[in-house]
Order: sequence, then structure tokens, then C-alpha cells
Amino acid sequence: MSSRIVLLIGLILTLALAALGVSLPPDGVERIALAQFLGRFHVMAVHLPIGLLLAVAVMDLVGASPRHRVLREAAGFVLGFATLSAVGSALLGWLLAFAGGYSGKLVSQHMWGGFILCAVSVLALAVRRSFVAPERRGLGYAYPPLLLLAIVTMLWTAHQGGKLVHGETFLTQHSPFRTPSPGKVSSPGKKGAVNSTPAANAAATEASFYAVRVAPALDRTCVGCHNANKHKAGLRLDTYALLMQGGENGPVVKAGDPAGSELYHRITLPPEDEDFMPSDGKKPLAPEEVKWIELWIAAGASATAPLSQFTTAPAPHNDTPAILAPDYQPYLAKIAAFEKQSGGRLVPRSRHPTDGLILRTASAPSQCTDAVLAQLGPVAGLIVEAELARTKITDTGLRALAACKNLRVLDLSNTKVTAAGLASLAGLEKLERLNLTDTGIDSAAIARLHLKAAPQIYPMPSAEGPEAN
Amino acid sequence: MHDPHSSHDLCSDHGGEYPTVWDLPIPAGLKQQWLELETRRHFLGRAGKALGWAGLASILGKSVPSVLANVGGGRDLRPHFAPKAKRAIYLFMAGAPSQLDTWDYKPGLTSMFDQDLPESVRGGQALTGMTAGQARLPIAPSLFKFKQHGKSGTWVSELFPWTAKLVDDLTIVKSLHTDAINHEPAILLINTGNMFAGKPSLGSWLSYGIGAINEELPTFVVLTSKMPWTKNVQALSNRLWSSGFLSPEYSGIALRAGGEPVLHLTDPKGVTSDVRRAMIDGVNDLNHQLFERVGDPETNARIAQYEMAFRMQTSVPDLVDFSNEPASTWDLYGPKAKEPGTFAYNCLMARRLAERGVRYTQIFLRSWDTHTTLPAGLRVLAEDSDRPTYGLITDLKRRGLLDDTLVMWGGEFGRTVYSQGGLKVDDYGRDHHPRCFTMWMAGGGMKPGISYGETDDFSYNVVKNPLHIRDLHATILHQFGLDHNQLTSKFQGLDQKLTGVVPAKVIKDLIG
Repeated sequence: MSSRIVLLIGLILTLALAALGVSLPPDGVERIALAQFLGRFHVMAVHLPIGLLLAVAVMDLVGASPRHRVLREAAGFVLGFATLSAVGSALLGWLLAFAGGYSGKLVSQHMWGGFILCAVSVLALAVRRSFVAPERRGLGYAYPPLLLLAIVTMLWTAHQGGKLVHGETFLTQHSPFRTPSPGKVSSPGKKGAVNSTPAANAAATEASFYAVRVAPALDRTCVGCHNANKHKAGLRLDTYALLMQGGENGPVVKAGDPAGSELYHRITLPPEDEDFMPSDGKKPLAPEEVKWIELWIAAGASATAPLSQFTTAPAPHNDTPAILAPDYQPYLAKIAAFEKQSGGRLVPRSRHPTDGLILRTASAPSQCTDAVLAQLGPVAGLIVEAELARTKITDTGLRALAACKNLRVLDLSNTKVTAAGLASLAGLEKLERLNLTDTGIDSAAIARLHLKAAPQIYPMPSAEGPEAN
Repeated sequence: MHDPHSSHDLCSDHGGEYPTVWDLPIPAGLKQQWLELETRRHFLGRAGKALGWAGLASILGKSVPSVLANVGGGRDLRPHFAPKAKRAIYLFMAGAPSQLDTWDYKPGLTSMFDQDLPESVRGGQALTGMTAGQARLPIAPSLFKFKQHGKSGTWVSELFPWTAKLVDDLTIVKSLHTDAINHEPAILLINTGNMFAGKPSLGSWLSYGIGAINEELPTFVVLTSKMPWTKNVQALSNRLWSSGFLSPEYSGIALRAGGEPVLHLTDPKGVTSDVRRAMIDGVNDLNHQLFERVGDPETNARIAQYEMAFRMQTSVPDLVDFSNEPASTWDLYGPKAKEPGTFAYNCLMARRLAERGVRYTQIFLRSWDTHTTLPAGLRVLAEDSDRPTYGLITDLKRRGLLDDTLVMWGGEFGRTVYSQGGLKVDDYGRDHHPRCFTMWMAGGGMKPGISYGETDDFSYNVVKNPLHIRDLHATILHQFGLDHNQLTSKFQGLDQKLTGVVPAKVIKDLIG
């Protein structure tokens, strides 16, 4: 087949694809079951051109050596196959997007990336013959840059596709290069759903049931397919306003009426039901999450109704552990530096990196002084428990502890801290237990303490004398 | 792959001067095990050779992040998930207290005094040799009066007027059952998860699983108590706090009931701490050489024990000095707490160990094996232990330690509803009974103020929520952030676990 015919057929196909993309863009409406069925093969077929294109590049490179000439000879065939599979995959992809109810920026980017890839592959294929000819002709020199362009386009498009399937943070979530900020942990779920629009942010205040319970549940389970970049059925669940607005079939939440709400109906169907959400065997909502949504809709689906109003709501399950502190793993060097300088130890509370650290001094409490606490600086936000009993710390050290914003348990028993020094702890919002046993701070002073978090304070006042019945 | 000669290169310290394990006529598997140890030793590095392993480990713990030190050396000491309990205190009532006279109230029995136990209740169960030959099995109602206590309205025997005040803090299990009917297998089963000797005890598994809070004291301490009643004594042995097939450094360390708590801990006159240190360094060096030649992990445990003893020279005198205890302490535990070795003294010691970060303290009180003269025996034992038990829990609670300290009370099995030997109006005895017994727990994230499980009208069979010891163990480990299926150690071709091979479950209803 001559290059010209290849070019002609390829360009016609590509133009046809582009025409489809322009005239019938993915608009979030589901249609044509058969097209959807075929379209879903896109997710599988798409790996073919990826592998083949990379193979072409490798074969061309290795084939440059006379010993492996045969590879360069075969590369042309592989490129032809790659181009064909790219066009085929792109067609399937358009079917999936158009019929499967996809829409959004990410979908468009992915689609057009695919079309451009087809076009570039066709061009590369067309000039390849000149590239491998015994006397390389003018057009032949365009081949390497075209192939490179095809691969770059492919990588970018593939990455966009990956984000569509797995969510935008999938790749970077556990990256060691991600830079978290200690000391500021957003409670789970305030991310995503509430941050998306300022309006929703203002509406759903920190302690609202929606922000703390409902939004994180939707975030984890539903927002993957109903977000700014991918709004299946025209529905977005990533902000309160859009959730209430509903999708192409109208509202999905009917305040006060869980049974009449499409959202609740879909998540409570039997999992094998065609309409069950989340679809396609994705991990369903946990029973307590379903219950939260039911209670929340029943109570009026408010963005602001406080957590405390929902007294019958089940407690969060352990499967979704709360984030008590930022992941300590990026801070290993700083932890080591602190331990080396101070002699204190920072011990993980568990294998979940977001369960925080324990500042542990029991082996040598007398070596723990105010100077040690003064070095906490960069790791202060990682500490959830501070075991400082019997240490030499004083009120000066307590001022350093004020930086431990995620501190929940603080044991100061048998130390020289005073009631006045405890004022430094007033801002520790998460403090749950404060142990002042054997500090000489009397119960009257404890009663006058004004701590924001109102922790349980020890020693407990002795209510009754120990007398036998 | 593990050619002896190439592996040989791994151990270059001796420069070929001594015969090595590779020269010995022993099975290849053992050599392989030695190779693994050897690799680990190289991982730790040579810098600490002169200090010995334990010394090296303690230095490592301070120069690399604890985060890494915990994971290093081949094992990860971080709990599998966030724990509720950091420490446990087990008040072990050896010999098995009668559930019928303490916690499992059966008022219906009063009218059945001296009637025969219905055959349908016993269900053909084999009895011990002590009562199997008895002509009849006469029902012996408890001689002790019961009263309801606390908001939970829990029935408690008059034997425990002090502990009764705490019922709203207790998690009472009335449906515990065991597989063994005699002391030795039963006491091994509840302490080690297996009826046969040689398995690690619960405290050893905890030490092995999550390590120490305080490196200056043993992770697992055993306190045996002076006996106020010596009529029904069963022997105790260190099998109950042994580390079994785990390294000996995870064994419980028993403090003595009288005199010096640890013998020979104080340096003799004229021996300074520096001299002692030099001596230990020397011994460690010799032990280290021995390990190189023979490759026995017990040698490393010995090094660790020398190091621990050295550290205890400073930590123990402060531990046992009760002079700084406030007057309120003696009000709580009672005056007997001043007499070393008593149960009361041990309870106070347990609190002092807990506040210093000892993971697991087990106090043994013996003589609960009341085959005969049960009422007299129980009165003496309750009198000795009730107030200190109350004192310990109250003290832990007011000092903020009960939140993360799990306190447990109980024996190895229950006792029969029928009398062993002659039944009198004011005297009886009870034989061993494995099918049900009562145990209680407090703190450590357990659900307070509840009773779990029920027995029938004769406290003979469990009728609701039976709890096997392996489920109890799984639940205890859970409170320490440990999944009993993941806490394993390879031995005899099996990933050994505290809960054994029969599936065990964590009882969520017991957890707060």
C-alpha cells in the first residue's frame, strides 16, 4: 500500500472521528444500550495502542543497530497495527462517552487527546516509508518527531483517561513527593465536597452533619463519577448546591422524604439491581453511611443542621479511620533529627500513618526537659499523645506543646507544671484527656481552668470516701 | 542457592579461626535458620559489636527514628490498628473461684438444697476423679447473700462489698468456658491459649507484638502473693509466664514476694556502677562470640537479660519505694498494702508498674481451689483481696490510668453446683467445672457496666453468648490494637498464634 493511500484512509477516518466529536459530543445523557455495551470495551482496547506505540519506539531505536535490523523492518507493521487500534479505540471511546452519559472537561480532554493521537499516528505511518528508505528523503526526517509527538500525546491522553477511571488523585495519593502540611488536618470529607465552591463552603459549616458525615460518604463512593469532570446522568454530587439541584432527571434529594428521593432509592436497591448505585461493582456505601443519608434527608437535607442534632445516627465504622494527624512518613528525617537531639522518642500509634505519633519518655523521663519540647517544631503537628509523666518539664515546656494542634491525650502527672502554665494549652482544640495527677494543682484551680476542648481532667475529684458497706 | 561456602562469606568476623555452624553435622534447615539470624545481625551492623546486641539496640532506638527502629530488626512493633489499651493488669485467682458464690447469682437454688442435680443438666458429662465416685451429686446453694449494686443493678455476693461499689465500671462475663477440667491444662489454656506447656503466655505475646513502653523495666512482670489461706493450694510454675517458643526475652519476670524484689540486683560493696558496666560488657562480648560460633538465639536473649538487669539496678529501687505514697493510697488499698508480698501490696505495685509503663502485670493469688470448706476459704480469700482490688481500680481511675489499662479478674475454670463431699447447712465444697465460669474486666476500652452471657439455673451450662477462652484472647489482643490472626510466630511449621488453629472472634459486644 502506498503512503498516499494510507494517509488518505487514515485522515478520512480521523476526520470522521473528529466530526463525531464535534457534532455529537458527550453530554451526560445515557442512551443506546448496545452502544454503551460496545463502548465499555474501550477501557480494555485502549491498552493495545499504548503498548504497541511504545513497542514501535523501542523497535526503531534498537533496530538502528545493524545487528537488530530485523526489528526496524517489523516496526512498520507494528505501527500500522498501532494506528488501527488507536482509531478503533477512539471510536469505542466516543461510543462510551456519548452513550454512557459522560460529560465534563476531563472527558473532552481525553476524547480530543485520543483523536489527535490518531491523526499523528496516521501521519507518522505515512512518512515512515521515506524514513526507512535506503536513501532517506525529506519527509522521512519528520518521522522521529512525529513518533515522539504521538507518544507524548498518548501518555497525556492515557493519564487523563486514568484520572477518569480512578479519580484525579489516584496516582499521587501515596506519592512520597507530595507535600502535606502538618498541623492542619482537614477532618475527613471537608475536602472535595465542601471545598469545591465557596457557596457550599459557607453553607456547610464545620460541625454540620452534612459536612462531617454525608459529604465524606458521597465523596468516597459517588463523586468519582459525579463530579466537575465527569458528571454521569448530568448529576454532580461534589457540592451541596449541585447535589440538591439534581441531574437530567430532576432532583435526587427530596427533603424530608428519603423513600421518595432518587438518591436514597438507588443506594438501597439490592446490589444486583441494574439501577443500584454505585454501579459496576464499585464498593457500595457502608450500612451506617446509608443510614446517615436516610436520617439526613429525613431531617430536611440541610447543609447546616449540626452534627449534634442527629442523636440516633450510628457511629462511624472503623473501616474509615479518622485522620488524627498528617501522615508521618514524609517526616522521617525530621523525626530522627528530633529524637537524636532530644533523646525523646516518637512512636507511631499504629500502622495507619494518620493515627499520629506518641511522644514517649517513660524510659528516661528525667531527661525530658523544656529544652526537649522546644525542639518539637516541625513534628509538633504529628503528635496525638504526649506521655510526659515524671518529666522535668515546666510551664515553659507547655508553651511549646501549644503547637501540637492534634494532641488528644496529654499526661503531665508528677511534673512541676502549674495552673497558670496550663493557659498555654487553651488552644488545643482536640484535647480529650489531660492528666494532672500529682502536680500540686488543686481541684479548685482545675475547676477554674478554661480549656476550649473541655477535656476529661485527672485526677478525678474523689466523690466518696472508701468505706465498706 | 544457599551454598555453605558462599553463605560462609556472610560471617567474616571470625576470619575462619573457629569452626562455624557450617562445619557442624546438623540438618540444613537449622543452618538456614542460623543464616537468617546472621543476616539480621549484619543488618544491625557491626558498630555495636563491643556493646553487644541489646546495648546496640538501645542506642539504635535513640539515633534512628523510633518509627524505623520499630520496623527494623525484622519485626514491626507498631500495633495493627490504634489501640484502646496500652497496659494490662491480670488479677489471676489461681485454683478457680466459685462463680456460684461470687458473681453468678442463682436464687432458685435455695429451695433445692441437697436435691440431686438433674441428670439432664449434667448431660452425661465426665466428672473429675474427685467426685466421679460420689454416690450422689447434691445441690449446694450458695451460703452467701447477694445484693444488687450500681446503676446496672448487678447482683454481687456479700463476699465482695468493696468491688461491688465498682460494678458500673466492670464488664462481667458469666459465660466463659474452657476445654480442661484439671488445673494444669486449664491454667495453661487461659494463660497461653494451649493446654500443653511450651506456648507463650498472653503477656509474652504482647511483649513480642508491641514491645516495651519503658525500656528500663521488664515488659511483663509477675507478682505472686502471700497466701492468706493454705488449705486448697495448687502449685504455680513459670510455665504460666514463659515465652514458650518465643525468644526468652519475652518471658514474664517474677518479682519476689518477700525480701528483695529481685535477688542480687544491688551491687555488692566495693563494686561501682562502672565496674558492673565493664563486667557486663565483658560478659556480653563473650556471649557474642558464643553466638557467632553456635548461632543459638538464646544467647542473644541472655545478652538482653544482662542489659535489663543492669537497667533495673536504677529503676527498681524507685519502683519499690512506697514512702512517697500519699495517705489516701493506704485508705484505698488497706493497711495490708504496707506488707511486702501480700495481694494488697502487689496491687499497689501493679499500679506503680502501670504508671511507669510496664505493659503487662500479672498478680497471682492462690488457694481458690475450694473442694472442701468452701465458705471458710472464700471468706478469708475475699477478705484478703476484695479491698485491694477495689483500691487498684479506683486508684487507676482517679489517676487517669484506667482509660488505657485493662484490668482482668478470674481463674482458670468454674466450680460445680453440687457439693463435693458431705453437704452441710453451713459447709460444702465444689469440684472443678469447665463449662462455665465468671471473669470480669475493667478499663482498657471495655464496655463498662454490663454482664455478658448467661448460664442456666444451676450455673452448669451456658445458655446465652458462650465465650471461649480463644475469643477472650482475641478480644484482649484487639484492645491492644492487635489482630490475633496477624500476631504470629513460625514454629514447628506453623504460624503459631495465641488463639490457636480453631477460628476465634473478637466479641464486639464487650468493647466500649
